[in-house]
Amino acid sequence: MGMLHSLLGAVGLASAGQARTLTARVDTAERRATELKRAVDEAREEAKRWKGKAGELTERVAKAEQAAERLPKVERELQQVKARDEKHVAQLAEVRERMLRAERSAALSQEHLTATEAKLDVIEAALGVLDRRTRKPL
Amino acid sequence: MTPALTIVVTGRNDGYGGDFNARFLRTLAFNHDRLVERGVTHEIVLVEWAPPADRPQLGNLMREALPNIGDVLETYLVDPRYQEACSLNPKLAYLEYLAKNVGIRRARGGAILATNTDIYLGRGVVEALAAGTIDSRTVYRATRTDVKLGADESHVHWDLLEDPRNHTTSKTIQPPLYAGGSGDFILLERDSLHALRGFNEVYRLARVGIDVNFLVKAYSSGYRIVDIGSPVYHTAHVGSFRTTKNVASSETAEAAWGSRGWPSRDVIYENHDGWGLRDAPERRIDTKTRWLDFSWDAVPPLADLRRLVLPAARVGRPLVSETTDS
Repeated sequence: MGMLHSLLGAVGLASAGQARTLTARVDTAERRATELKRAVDEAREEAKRWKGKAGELTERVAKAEQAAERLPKVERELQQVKARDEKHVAQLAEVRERMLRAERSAALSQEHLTATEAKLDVIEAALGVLDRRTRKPL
Repeated sequence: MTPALTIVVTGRNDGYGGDFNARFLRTLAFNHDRLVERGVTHEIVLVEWAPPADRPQLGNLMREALPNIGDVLETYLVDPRYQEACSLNPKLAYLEYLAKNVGIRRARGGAILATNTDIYLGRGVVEALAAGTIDSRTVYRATRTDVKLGADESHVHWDLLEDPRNHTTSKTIQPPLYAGGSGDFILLERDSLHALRGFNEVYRLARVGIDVNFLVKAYSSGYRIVDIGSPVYHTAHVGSFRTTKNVASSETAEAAWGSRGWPSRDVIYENHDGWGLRDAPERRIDTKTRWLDFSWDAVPPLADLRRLVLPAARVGRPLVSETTDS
């Protein structure tokens, strides 16, 4: 068998068994190549997804970095707003207090006005009485 | 002996409201009998303010009709000149609360009830008086229930008065003042009422509102004002404030009640020392009747403006102006 293989090999031929063996190996290699190709495709897809995710993350990181850069400014603005707010609250309390004082003053003024009107009623009435008493004997 | 109670009323024999004397007679007899039944010692001080000279005295008529009240009925006849001398409103015909002050000033009872001649005391009121639980610095008020015209008043008893079918209206009274028909029932311990110096004698232009004004003064002075918890009954009659206030001509209204728009809830008073005609010379006519002679010494000043003051606020108590009390 060995000599036959050698002779066939010398003229560039192979025995049928060798041919079958080789064919089988070729088939196996092809299947393997197909699997590898599919695996490569999947890997490519995966790589593509990761690349997309990486892009997104990069973008988010960039945004976060931008936001982080703005943070001190925002904080300063926030402090300013807070200060203004506190000032407004204080002003509001003062205005409210002034309004209450004004309301009390107005009420007191009204009371005094009412009392004064009552006193004027008495004065007017007393003058009327005196007037009648003066006229009577004349 | 000092009676437990003095009832102060004022009136005169002038036919006010059509049958004034008959109405007074009925309430006088009723209230006296109920108080006697419950053992409440009392005197009734009737102040006849400017009584007409040409008619019998009201007190005498009552004594003749009700001999059993002779011992408890004290009458003060007030010289008619006081009406003109004291009045600041010539149209106002009767200074009712000055008259009541005359009685309050001279009352001897441990408690004083200022009321009107057409008021029947309710059952619970008499019970409260019998219990003798009148606190100092406390004004006792009672709801006034009007008994309709035409109700049989010939034989009045509590069942008749308490029957809702005979009622027309009830003056509901609410804190803090418990105002509403106040002139019909103001009850205080004597010294507490004297400390307040009676009703307003400074603003003498009105009759209506003087009772509420007294409540404002008491409230401002830190007195408690409470509902005694039982009504009194008022017999509606021609000319009463309730039945006439919306239909009377301005002339009639002014004569009966004086200035109606005065600020009786906003301005109070501090009567002068001689309030209640303290300095009027008294002349005894009989054991139960005195005549108050006219004297300028007894007449309050025409205008005493410092005695018209604003009511004070009290800690923990709402201002009268902040309340919805009627």
